[in-house]
Amino acid sequence: MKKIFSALGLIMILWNQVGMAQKTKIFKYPFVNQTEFGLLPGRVKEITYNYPYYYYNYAPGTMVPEQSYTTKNVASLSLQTFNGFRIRKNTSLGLTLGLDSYASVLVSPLAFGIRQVMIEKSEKGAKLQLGIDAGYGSTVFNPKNSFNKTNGGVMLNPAVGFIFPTKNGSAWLVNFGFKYQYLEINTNNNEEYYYNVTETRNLNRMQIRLGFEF
Amino acid sequence: MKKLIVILIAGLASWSCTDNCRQTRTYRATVPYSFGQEQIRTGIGVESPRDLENPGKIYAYGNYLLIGETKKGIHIIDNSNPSSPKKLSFLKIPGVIDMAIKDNVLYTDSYTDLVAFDISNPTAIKEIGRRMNVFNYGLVDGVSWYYDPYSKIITDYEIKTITETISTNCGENNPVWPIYRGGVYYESAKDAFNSSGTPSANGTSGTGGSMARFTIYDKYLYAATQSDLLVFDISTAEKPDSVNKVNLGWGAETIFPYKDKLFIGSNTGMYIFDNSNPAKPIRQSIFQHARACDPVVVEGDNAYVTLRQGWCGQSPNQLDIVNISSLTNPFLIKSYTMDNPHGLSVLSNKLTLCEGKYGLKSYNVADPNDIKLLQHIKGINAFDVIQLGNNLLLMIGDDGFFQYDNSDPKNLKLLSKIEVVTKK
Repeated sequence: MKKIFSALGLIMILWNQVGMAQKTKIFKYPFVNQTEFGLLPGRVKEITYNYPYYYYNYAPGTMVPEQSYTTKNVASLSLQTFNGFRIRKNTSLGLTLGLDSYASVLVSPLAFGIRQVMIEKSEKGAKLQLGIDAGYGSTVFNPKNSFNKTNGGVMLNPAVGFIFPTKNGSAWLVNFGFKYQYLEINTNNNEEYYYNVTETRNLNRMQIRLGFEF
Repeated sequence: MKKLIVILIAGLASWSCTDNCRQTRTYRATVPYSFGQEQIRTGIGVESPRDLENPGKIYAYGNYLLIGETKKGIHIIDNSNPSSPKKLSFLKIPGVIDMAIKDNVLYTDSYTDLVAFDISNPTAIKEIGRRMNVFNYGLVDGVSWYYDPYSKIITDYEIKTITETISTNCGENNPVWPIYRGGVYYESAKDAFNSSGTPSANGTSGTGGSMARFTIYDKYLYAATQSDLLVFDISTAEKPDSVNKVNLGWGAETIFPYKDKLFIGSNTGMYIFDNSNPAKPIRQSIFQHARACDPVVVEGDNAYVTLRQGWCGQSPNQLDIVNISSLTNPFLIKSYTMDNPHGLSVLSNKLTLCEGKYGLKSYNVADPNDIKLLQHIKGINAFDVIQLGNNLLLMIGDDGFFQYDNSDPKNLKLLSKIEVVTKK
């Protein structure tokens, strides 16, 4: 929660500075918005446990049984919007807000983003863009329940893609990237003999984004 | 620039897009350990007094007080002055759960064996008799043990705190490796019941705590196992002899003698046995109730049964008063709602009832249709109680062993306390 507040504080400071900048030098840094809809395909290990042969005499904690796994394809939906300013001709800086619906957890990332046009053949032609968003995936919009507590964590999202400018000045976007999200889930079993369960999730997903820029 | 793109693409490609989730969990489980049967026979000895750690059953005999240390031994306490009880010694007995005393002979279980001790000098206790292989399994505090007669190995369980890390499926619907607890029941509180009934026996025997599975009547020792009622002839202390075995069905928990009757509490009901021929108790009737943990005490025509939720079953927490004037046809008089009733004790219409972590309650039960709460001592953990006469009440709980003056049931006076020392 603290992290969210400090991030919001930073936004306010940025906003103020931008406002002041606009008063002195209007439109020195043009506003950029890139809003994209995405898919986060990935793979999950489906663990199967091979129960010990001497099951009745199995001593808890002395061994974790052998595990084997098969992998399953999964995909999550993702929305994001990058809002920032073009500080150089080919460079934009800003903040990225999003919503990622992973299995059983809804994550809303808040990140600093940079967009850099790497290759541009002509003013009106397609451009290759590199984007990096790094920040914190919070779980404030995740539905709460009394028996477990989900904590967000680091989010890292590099991507490369194309900008297809249109005649009216805006552009279509297609991006391919990678998204890393860390989550921690503490289960609170209200049971005398069950002290603590913490699950750490390192979610590594491929990312395909479609959207527009103006 | 092109180099940078190549590096980026190579970097992306080498990243695995597989989710990686691990779960770390800490829980308490029962871990089995096995040992040869010979060990229980060599492990007996008298040691200097020690602290109470996991007190189990209590037994009062003359000026002495015995507090069982579950599966470890028995604390022997000189209680001639209830205001300042003195620890005399600690009798080490592997696997001890129950005890009963008659004419200075202490009978206890020790896993599979029934052992007799001469306790006329409490600091120099001697083993005088043993009957081997009479019990094959047992259950205390929800933890069981069993004996395999072919390999002569006893398997018991100890409670351990376990931390383990396993892989999970990242919240994709699939079960995780289940917590494995050793396949036994759980409940922290001791189970049982009983009361301060004074068996009209020949010779001097003591008074058992409300958790007793052992009781002595006449020259017979009764031991209730999970499924059977075993009868031993103890006319020769050196040679306790098994004379009878009565099947009880599963789930017997406690045994309570009253006059020439035996009341057996099981988790499905109360069995009433006619004991006029002590060698051959005959079943008269069963008073059935919901599956629950159910201590029972009896006075006059009324039996007091408490039911509570626990590993024995799910039922409302209540006190049932049952009329047993006709032993073949017991019937319910009235039920009273309770918080979490454990052991109880009744003596001359004074009913004392342990409410677990909700404390200790004192009732007047002169009119079973309208019992009156006289006092409720809160802030202590109480699971078993004995009223030893009209002015001494013994109570044991997770916090320690307490003695109260109960001459005025509206105002129980604390006489002394022996603390439980928690060893981590």
